[in-house]
Amino acid sequence: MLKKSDHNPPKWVLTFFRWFCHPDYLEDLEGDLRERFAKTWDERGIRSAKWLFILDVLQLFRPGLIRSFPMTLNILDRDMFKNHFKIGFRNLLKHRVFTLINIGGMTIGMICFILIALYIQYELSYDEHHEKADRIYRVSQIQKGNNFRGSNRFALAPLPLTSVLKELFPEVQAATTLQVREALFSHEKQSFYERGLFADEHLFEVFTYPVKEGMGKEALQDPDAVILTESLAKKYFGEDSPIGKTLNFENDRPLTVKGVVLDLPKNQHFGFDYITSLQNLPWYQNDLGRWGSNNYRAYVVLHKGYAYKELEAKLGVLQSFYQDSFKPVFFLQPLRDIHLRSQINFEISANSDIRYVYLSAFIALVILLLASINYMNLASARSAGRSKEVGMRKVLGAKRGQLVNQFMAESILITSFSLGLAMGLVYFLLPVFNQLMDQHISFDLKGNRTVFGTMLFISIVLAVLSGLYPAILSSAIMPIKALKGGWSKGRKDGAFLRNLLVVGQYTAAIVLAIASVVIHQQLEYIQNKKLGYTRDQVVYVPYRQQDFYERRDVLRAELLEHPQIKKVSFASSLPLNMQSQGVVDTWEGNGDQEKLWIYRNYIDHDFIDLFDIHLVQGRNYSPEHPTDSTASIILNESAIKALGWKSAINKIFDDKRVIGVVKDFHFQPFNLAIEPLFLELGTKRRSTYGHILIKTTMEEQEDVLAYIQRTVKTFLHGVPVEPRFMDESYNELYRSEKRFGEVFNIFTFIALFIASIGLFGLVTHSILLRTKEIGIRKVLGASISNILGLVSKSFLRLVLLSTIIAVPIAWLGMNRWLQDFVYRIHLDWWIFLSVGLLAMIIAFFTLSTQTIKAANKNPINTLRDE
Amino acid sequence: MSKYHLGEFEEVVLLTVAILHDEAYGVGISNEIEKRLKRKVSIGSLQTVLRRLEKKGYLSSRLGEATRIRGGKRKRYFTLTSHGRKILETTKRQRMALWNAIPNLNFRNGHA
Repeated sequence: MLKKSDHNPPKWVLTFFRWFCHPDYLEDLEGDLRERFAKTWDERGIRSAKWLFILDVLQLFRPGLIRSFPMTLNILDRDMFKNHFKIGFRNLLKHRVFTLINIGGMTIGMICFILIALYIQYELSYDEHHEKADRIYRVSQIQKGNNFRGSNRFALAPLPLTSVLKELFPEVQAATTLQVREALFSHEKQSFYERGLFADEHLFEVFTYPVKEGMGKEALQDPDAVILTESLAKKYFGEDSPIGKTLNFENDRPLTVKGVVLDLPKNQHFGFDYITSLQNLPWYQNDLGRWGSNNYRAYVVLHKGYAYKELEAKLGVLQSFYQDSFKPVFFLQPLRDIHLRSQINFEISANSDIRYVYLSAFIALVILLLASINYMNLASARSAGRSKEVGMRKVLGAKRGQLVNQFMAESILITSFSLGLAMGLVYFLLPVFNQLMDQHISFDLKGNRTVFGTMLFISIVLAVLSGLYPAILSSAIMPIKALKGGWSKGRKDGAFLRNLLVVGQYTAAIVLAIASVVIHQQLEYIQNKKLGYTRDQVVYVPYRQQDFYERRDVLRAELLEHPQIKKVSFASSLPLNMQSQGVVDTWEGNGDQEKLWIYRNYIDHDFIDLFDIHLVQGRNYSPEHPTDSTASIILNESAIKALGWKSAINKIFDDKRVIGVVKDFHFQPFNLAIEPLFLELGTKRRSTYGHILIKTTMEEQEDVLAYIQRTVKTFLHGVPVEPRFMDESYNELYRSEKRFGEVFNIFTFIALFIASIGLFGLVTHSILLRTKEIGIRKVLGASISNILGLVSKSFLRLVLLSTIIAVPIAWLGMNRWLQDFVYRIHLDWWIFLSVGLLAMIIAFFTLSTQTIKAANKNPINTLRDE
Repeated sequence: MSKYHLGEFEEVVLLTVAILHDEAYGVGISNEIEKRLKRKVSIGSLQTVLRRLEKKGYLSSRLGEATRIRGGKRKRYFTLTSHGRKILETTKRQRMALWNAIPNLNFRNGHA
């Protein structure tokens, strides 16, 4: 039990209270506060006590109780307050260009910031809606020695795992085994592939899926039952209640709808359209009790207060269940971390990356910083032009605080206007942004109050900071000097800081610009890199059918009847993204010592021809050699290298004779190196699922596609047939990189734009101050280009300096990014040079528009005015 | 007659101070009001009223003892001044006069 005297209220609140409270009242009020705090603590716990304390202190912040602030900004002086805003408003109207630049820059900055902050918040919110989210862990495994696509971690678990976990470890409160898989659903002659969640009856003990009608948990006991999501129910049954109706599952089993769950939020690391029993997976019976059956996902909930790392350390005992030498090491992944921090093999769906979140946060801050720098720069520069006003105010007795207030009022006007504008535009831009980022973020003032609150807070800080600096600067000046207007020619008018800020701005913009060029180049490289096979004009249709093998020759013949179809082939995997890998330990010269992890693809005689894959040794499969289908194998160059062979032909690999070696081709995404692969002829057993590949001439695309669809449909019973293009699917693989590139381009453009309008404002101002100088120079015979050189020299020097600073930063950053790709471009010097040059050119154009205008003025007009 | 009219909350506070007699300090007053009137009182509004009433001369205050629970800070005890007592009585008299002026005081149709 705590002693009463240990009840200490939060210190910072107390400090704040002591600061504002009237000294006469301070002692007894603080006593009262502490007493109340101690009382609520005892009665309602520390959390409510703290909240109530903060509330109490805030409520004490009122006129009767706060001390008087001698040098106050006199916010309470209503007349002056109103006057400041009135004058501020007039001032903004008077200098329309500056106001426009200020508000425009600020608004763009804020929009970017809010959008990116919303995106970050969304990314961080994944899987948070499960009641036990903080105690749910996925059990994944490390398979030592199995380096599959660069990692030996797998998001898979065997079927018996969860029941054993519950038995052995008391800290496991609940555990469920599940898998997400597409399966065919049909109803009244319509059939679709729908994404199903196959789960055991413990699913609802772990995850929270609110039931809308019918049963939840109970339905999973029954293998003939299915629970639909709201939208799937609507798709099949419209507005009628689906309970009790049946759907045909995989064309051979009717399932009864027993329940409907609410549609899921999109921010989950796996989604689905329906839930049904795990027993409906075709391999379930076969996997019962088998520890080698890595076909499932396992999730556990721990009791409150248990550290998952402790449980993880004890998971070693599970190895005793494995009979053979292969023993995986299990580990736990917190549910909330999966979306951003798990990039292991066989994720249910592609996860995002925490690095994207960091990068976007960085970009958001940079852009907001650019916009604020702009504002401060312009305001401080412009304050120089207002020296007369400041001088007059001082002579008339304005105190320093009042001058500060004046500038502050303008600053608040601009920021609040920008904030309002930004919020409104975000509302309209969000759908576009969502499409761009492939996200589902909604505009929700309450749900996103952290984001909007932060924005509001930043705006206030920004308003105060950007108001304060010019205010202090100009109010410190001697009135007599200010009135004479001599101040603006003084040395200490903040020019150094202003230059520093311009350099900072351009540095950031140039770094971003270089990055976006490099990203673009790398993506281009990926798109155009020689893959080692030709994917153009290849259409494919995935299939899953028991008796496909026997009938495939008929299908081939029928397809080839169309004059534009050149070749037809059947293969288990597409060369886009091969996943299937196995272990081989028998080959000539091995003696069962070593194991080779090797990718495999089961093909037919036409596969190598259809893709123009180059044979470096030996021959292709041929119908003239009937033994090919059982006793021959073709390897790729990487496999030969891994085996240490010089010549491969006629050697024995996996009990088969090597008849050919193909040149390495990319059968996986580009960030992965080419690894060993074998191509074997498909057998009946291997052909129950795979892809139909069709090479066409593509002259009458529509016609060919329709023909393919018609023909294939007669062969595949009751499944949707959608022919797809290989190169489209290929581009799909790089969608996230591409999207990243596009978004990056946009933000780079914005950064450059903001930096440029900042420069534009500064130049305009600097010319304004030098109008007379320019006039005199002209009278004395200076040409327009002389003057242009004079003005641009100082600014271009700053941009040059920025380039020099930006290049190494960009080089380091982009080098890091490129490390993720096995096949990547070189960072050429010309990228840096051209971006630097481009920045200079943009800066020069920005400068010259205003300078030329000023230089063209008749000197009589500029010199006469005094 | 005084020019100043007590607000409803001011009256409640003055009466509570009178009830608590020599024991009226911030937290004590708010507890008492909460107990008797079942009404939540924010510390901010109570304190402003107390200071205002003191400024008007209806209350006087002195600093009392410190306790550990108060972090060694002293309490401020409020007592009713004669001026304060007078205005309470005036208020009461005014109320009663108004009540008495209601013709045929009849509660049956009211909210009994």
